[in-house]
Amino acid sequence: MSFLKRIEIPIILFAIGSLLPLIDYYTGNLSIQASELLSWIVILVTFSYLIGVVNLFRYHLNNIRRGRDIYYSILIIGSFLFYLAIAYLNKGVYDWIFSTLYTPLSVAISSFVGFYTYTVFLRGARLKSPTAVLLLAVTIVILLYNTPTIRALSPQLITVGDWIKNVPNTGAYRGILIGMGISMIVLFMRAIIGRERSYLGGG
Amino acid sequence: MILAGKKFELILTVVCIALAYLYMKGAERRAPRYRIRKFPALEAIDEAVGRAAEMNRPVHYSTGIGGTDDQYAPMTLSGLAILGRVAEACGRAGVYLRYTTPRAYLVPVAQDILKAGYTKSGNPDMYSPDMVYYVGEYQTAFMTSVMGYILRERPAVNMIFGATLWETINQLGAGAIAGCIQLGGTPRLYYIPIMICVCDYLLIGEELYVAGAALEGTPGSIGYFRGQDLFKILLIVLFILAAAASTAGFNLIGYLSTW
Repeated sequence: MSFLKRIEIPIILFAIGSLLPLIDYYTGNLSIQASELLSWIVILVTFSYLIGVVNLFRYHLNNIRRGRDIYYSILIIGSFLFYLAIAYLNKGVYDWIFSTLYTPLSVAISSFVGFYTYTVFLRGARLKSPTAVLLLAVTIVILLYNTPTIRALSPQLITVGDWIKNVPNTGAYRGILIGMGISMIVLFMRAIIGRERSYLGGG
Repeated sequence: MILAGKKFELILTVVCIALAYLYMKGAERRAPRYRIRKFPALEAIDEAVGRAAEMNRPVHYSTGIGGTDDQYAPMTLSGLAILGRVAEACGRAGVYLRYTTPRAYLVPVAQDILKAGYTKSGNPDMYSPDMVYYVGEYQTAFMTSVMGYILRERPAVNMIFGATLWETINQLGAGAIAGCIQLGGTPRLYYIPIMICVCDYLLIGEELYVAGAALEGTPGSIGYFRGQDLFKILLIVLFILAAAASTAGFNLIGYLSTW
């Protein structure tokens, strides 16, 4: 097997890349090397965009060849090439397209979040189990707790809402957070010693 | 030379790592004594992929907005570990798996994982590099691309394991409208309630990080869980000591964190 294809190489690179900033964090001794490493990451990530562009073009050119979703694919390739060209040819048009076309479309799409949050809430509110009933009850209390009029009319609701937020909610939140921190350390250690290999493709 | 205020942190980290490592090494001998509880979300992968095969519809998978060059790296790594298992299941069932990512450098990684999964399951011809789709680095592009795919192609299963931000609400919402079986997992606390509402099976918090080891199921990975349990015992002891010291008027954690 070629030396560069050996599975140990990415594991060693991962270990060096992870340990260098860690040593710098605790000792402050390898700050130059750690900051150099971070610069390399930025450069590598920037170059990786080329991989993305190749993937995008191959996917859509294959679609056009097979006659599948052909209009979407032509539109995306056309937009990409047009916008790339305009970035070099006319900066004013480039900015104009970004501010008058991309930004409003992006904001409009993002505003779907409100609609989908209600959809998700309604799906979660279907009473299928005692836990779902509890979830619904707590949600209603917190919803009322955050409504100024209800808060003004019922001071008891503030006490109940505060208790839910500060006791069961914070307790569960911190429990999950501590468990996550521990798991993250163990995952990191597992990856450094080469036990976690599934992300490398070998299973 | 250790920086001031970081000695305790370093000692705790080194002790934790050493304990986990020792447990992993010794676990092969003791493995039959330990059992890991089952994770319904991981158990459901085969069932969900089987349903996709029956319906002759694809499976969609995403590791969320996170990459491996940011603070979300552990979540993304765990998501990729599950991707390998899903690819294997899809290969066995002859189902098309589509992986969508907003990170360009994950394209070759995911292609390799998918190729290995389909090859391992004895169906290498089914694999195509087009199964991995890059959508651009922007959150909006990622969100709309996944929503569009789900509503157009109507995959039977939608899985999101990894770092999730607000785009997940829309993606899972679209999945719910398309009638997908939804499997999710994230340690991102703000999005866990959303996933609880809309996913059929879910990995909460740390469960995602241990997914790789749980799927592996080897004696070494059982040791990994034991090591983790030991951390928790160590921390509980520390909490009790800190609470007792605090009640007695001595700020133990404050003292240790300035050490």
